[in-house]
Amino acid sequence: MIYNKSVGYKHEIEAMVLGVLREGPLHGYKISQSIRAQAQGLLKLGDNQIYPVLHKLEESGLVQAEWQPQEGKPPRKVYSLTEKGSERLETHQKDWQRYTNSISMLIGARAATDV
Amino acid sequence: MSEVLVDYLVSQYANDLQKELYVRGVPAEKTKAVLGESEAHLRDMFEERKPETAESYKNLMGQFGSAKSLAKEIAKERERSAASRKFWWPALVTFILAEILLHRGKPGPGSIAYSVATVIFGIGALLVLGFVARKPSVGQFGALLVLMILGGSAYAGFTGYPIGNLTASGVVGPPYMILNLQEVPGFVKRSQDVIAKRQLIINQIGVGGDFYASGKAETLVPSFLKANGGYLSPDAMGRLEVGGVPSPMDTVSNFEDAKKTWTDGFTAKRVADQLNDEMNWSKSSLRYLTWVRNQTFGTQVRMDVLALTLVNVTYCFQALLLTNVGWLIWLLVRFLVRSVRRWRASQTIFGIGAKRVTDV
Repeated sequence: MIYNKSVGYKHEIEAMVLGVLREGPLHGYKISQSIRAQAQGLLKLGDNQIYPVLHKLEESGLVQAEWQPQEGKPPRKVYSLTEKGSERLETHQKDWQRYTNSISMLIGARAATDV
Repeated sequence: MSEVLVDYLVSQYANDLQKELYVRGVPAEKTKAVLGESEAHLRDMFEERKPETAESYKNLMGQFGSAKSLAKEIAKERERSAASRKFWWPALVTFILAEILLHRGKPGPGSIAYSVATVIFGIGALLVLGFVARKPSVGQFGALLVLMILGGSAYAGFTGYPIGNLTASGVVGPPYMILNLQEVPGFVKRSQDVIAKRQLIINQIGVGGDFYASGKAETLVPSFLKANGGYLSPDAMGRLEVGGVPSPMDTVSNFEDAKKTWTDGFTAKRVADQLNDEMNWSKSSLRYLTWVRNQTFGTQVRMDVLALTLVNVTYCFQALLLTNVGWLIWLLVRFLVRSVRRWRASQTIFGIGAKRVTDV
């Protein structure tokens, strides 16, 4: 099956968050900014929608979080990838690669016959 | 000016978010964490983007998303997390109840009261479990059904015979039941008794019909058509159990009344037909028993599957319905609780230093 459940909508957001955290620990705003910057306008969700995803990832042990105090500002919760999260990210990468390869091949073949 | 505006927007958002989280029953600790993260996010966003016009402030707030949508997703995530846990209790309780009803509810003193109490307890237990599950329960009943049919068939294959309806023409059909090996002699004797007694009563009804139609005198009524000083009607004859004694309610004291019931043209025939059906069913069961005892083990197990499928499908479906009614009750209660909370939230100002409107 080409389009399996691991590349569904929720899983895509989950994969994006894990992908962004691969670069290092980040707080919510930075995570949403990174996703928005790399999504090239494809992301239509409100930035606040990453928080339920982050909480779910934290609960599943894929990311860990720590409140960091700031001077003169409210504390920020900083998220980082766990080992389990890195493994999950690898699975996402493989699934996505397989999916995009299949679609690329299909579209390419169709395009070739059209020419 | 912008700092004041940022404070205002952040506090407004926090109030809305707190209210929406409260309505959805999100615990205080979680609410605090979500509020903290949202505030930090909004302040970082305004600090980095430095909006200058009212329009740009509005756009940034729009980009962050509404408090309602965030609260909705947070509540959904909590429910999803709770629902993702395995909850096999409904299937387990259904199985235990089936065993109790099957093995402890056999005919005997107090068995009806025992079975009724078990069924009432089962209904209550499944409703409660469906409520506690907080999610629809379907798959586990499918698995239970398969296990009960296959496990029951394997068990029945070694411990009994499947009994069904084998007509004189050799057609096998429902209803089916499982007969334990130790019950076989009793079953054969009971069936033979039923056949003999039904045949006797059918014959007597025939004689009775002929007697009353002939217009013979009251003094000549055969003794088997009389009881308790009165006359047995065709219906009373039909109610005579194997070896049973007619009750006073089964007799008519007046000869003419008795004659009317015997000669109305349909009562005697109806009773005789009914007795004939009962007799044929017993004959058919005995034929089936003889037939099935000569079949291979595989054939017997296939017949066991047939015997157990219908009863188990019905039983598991009822358990599934009850459990999911429990879940629907939970949905209703959740809706009511949220409605009450929304009403209470409308009477409250949320946020730092909040006071009830009624306190002001």
